[in-house]
Amino acid sequence: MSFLQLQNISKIYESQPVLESINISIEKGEFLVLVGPSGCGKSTLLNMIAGLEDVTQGAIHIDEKDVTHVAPSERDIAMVFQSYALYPSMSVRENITFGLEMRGVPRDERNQQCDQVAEILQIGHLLDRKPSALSGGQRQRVAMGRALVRNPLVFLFDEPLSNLDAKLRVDMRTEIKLLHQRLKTTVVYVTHDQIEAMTLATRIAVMNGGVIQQLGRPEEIYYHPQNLFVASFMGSPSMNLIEIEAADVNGQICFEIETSNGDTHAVALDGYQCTGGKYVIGVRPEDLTDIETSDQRQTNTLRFSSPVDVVEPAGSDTFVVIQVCGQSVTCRVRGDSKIQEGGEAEFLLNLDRIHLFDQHSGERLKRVVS
Amino acid sequence: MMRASLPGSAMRSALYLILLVFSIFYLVPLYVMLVNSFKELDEIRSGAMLALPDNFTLAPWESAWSTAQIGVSPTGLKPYFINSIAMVIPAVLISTLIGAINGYVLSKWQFRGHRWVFGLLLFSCFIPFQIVLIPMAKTLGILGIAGSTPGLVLVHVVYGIGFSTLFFRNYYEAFPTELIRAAQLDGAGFFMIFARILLPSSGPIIVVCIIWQFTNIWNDFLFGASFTDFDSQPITVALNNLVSSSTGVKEYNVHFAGAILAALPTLIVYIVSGRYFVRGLMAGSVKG
Ligand SMILES: Nc1ncnc2c1ncn2[C@@H]1O[C@H](COP(=O)(O)OP(=O)(O)OP(=O)(O)O)[C@@H](O)[C@H]1O
Ligand SMILES: [Mg+2]
Repeated sequence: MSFLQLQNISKIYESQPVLESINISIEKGEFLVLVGPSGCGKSTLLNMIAGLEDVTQGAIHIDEKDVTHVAPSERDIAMVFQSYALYPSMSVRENITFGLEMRGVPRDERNQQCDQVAEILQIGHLLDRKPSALSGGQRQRVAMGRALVRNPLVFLFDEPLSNLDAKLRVDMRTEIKLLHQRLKTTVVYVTHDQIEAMTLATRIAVMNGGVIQQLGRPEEIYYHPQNLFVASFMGSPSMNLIEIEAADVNGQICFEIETSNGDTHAVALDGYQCTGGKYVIGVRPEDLTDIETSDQRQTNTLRFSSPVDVVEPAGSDTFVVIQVCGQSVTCRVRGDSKIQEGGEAEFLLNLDRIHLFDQHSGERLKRVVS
Repeated sequence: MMRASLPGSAMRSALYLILLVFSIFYLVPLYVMLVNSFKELDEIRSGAMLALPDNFTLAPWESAWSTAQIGVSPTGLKPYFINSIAMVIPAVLISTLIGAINGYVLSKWQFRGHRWVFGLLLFSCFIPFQIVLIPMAKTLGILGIAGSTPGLVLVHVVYGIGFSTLFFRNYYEAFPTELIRAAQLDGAGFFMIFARILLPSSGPIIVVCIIWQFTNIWNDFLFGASFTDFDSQPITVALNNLVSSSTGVKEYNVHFAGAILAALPTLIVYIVSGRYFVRGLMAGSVKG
């Protein structure tokens, strides 16, 4: 049995289903990220793992033990809340050691463990302050300290970085990653930031509407999204989704790419089990580049020229918007690219990296490797 | 800016004038009571109510406190003052504590039908005193504490819980639930969370509740008159007996002194903690 196992978990709030048959199992030491849009039930699921919300249906096992109906304090988990939830009337030290005190750890030992954690998190100079006298980043650290000091079986994080400014968020992200590498404690981490999910996770669960859309390693999620939702949610800028119509041309299923200068290019859908009809193809911006940027090792490419609508420099990359099949499509080219708005440029589409989805079900079509 | 400031300052002066008039209006009775309580009876009879005393004397205060005729015995207000203290302190503390726990449960440990319970408690705030007199007298009789200080304490606690629950529930409603959850994960139980997490942050609302309960219970006359015997009467009832005792001449100076004595504790409570009162009311209302 896996270290943390959620079996068929459902949650119903006042006859309204919020989560539906969630199945997740992760091994000890994994970093699971729950990611999804607001209101999809991430916090609810996390609170259920913590024992703060009842489970309507299903079972939760931690470390071989059924904890579905075990009180939160008995589950040996620690949680970092989005608002940090520091006890306002207690000093930082008291905040960090409160959990130990409740578990009857003697004072000397408490203080010693607190000092250790404070050193890891570099908050030693803040121990006598009240939370109200701390900055947002410092509060975040204290909240982490309160979780760390308990040395639990599982850490739960509910959007711990969402209240920090952009730069601090990136720094803390790295620190959390380092901390996980060092402590190797199992983590379940909630975020709606897909970059956080990609950088931190060993496993990602993409959720939408109370259902897990896909559970997998970050690269699986990124390179093999199972459906249109996952494809469009993960990645920034998000994947281009182009509606196309495939047709049988001399026994080969093909579709046409039409650019705004009227050129058309036929592309064969090799190795897909599909017939003619409507499909959505997904192309990540980095798989649609100009000649300069393209990777020379790519062989299966389509080269075409297209008028350029918009050029958005973003520092290390520049994003170029062109029209394909009447839809706006973002291409990613080098930051120092000379492509001009209103001009025309040559582009390369990496055909090995296109994703094909069924238009009705939104499901990915498998490619049979030929 | 310059043009706006002229009518602005005129407005301001008018406002201050009105405020001044009102404060005089409210303060004059107090002033009259105060100056006349230091006069001899003859001086009061001679007319000038507003004048300062010619012969300053503390005799009316001494009389009101320890020798004046209350009902049948010449004890002064002192024993009744002590009765009131012995009644008001437990009544205020118990009703505040119960209100705090009620508020904690109704906001953070909601159970099926919690809205109903809260609604009924709120409703109890609006029940007129007179309606409960007879059922209450019966209840006290059954419990065997009729006509005693504990009986009166019980009456005030029961009557006060509605308001104290309202205060605390609204205050705790704005208290972040994540703190409770964090404490639960830390292993703290129901009362531990209440004592260590909520109570230390409840200063302002505790002050509000104590002031409110204290003034109401101290100033209560009806319950005091209905549910006590001679030896457990609160000061409000004793003051009434002092003022309305029919024997001999009306000693206005003693009455004034007695009335001030009876009002003194509430006055002190307001002066000492009045600013917390306003702050606590704001804290509850702005966030909740
Ligand atoms: N106590 C409750 N009663 C009824 N519905 C609730 C309750 N708590 C949450 N919900 C509903 O459950 C759904 C999931 O809520 P949840 O807080 O888990 O979302 P989330 O994914 O964490 O969103 P966010 O990213 O905004 O934090 C929401 O639609 C919400 O309205
Ligand atoms: Mg949430």
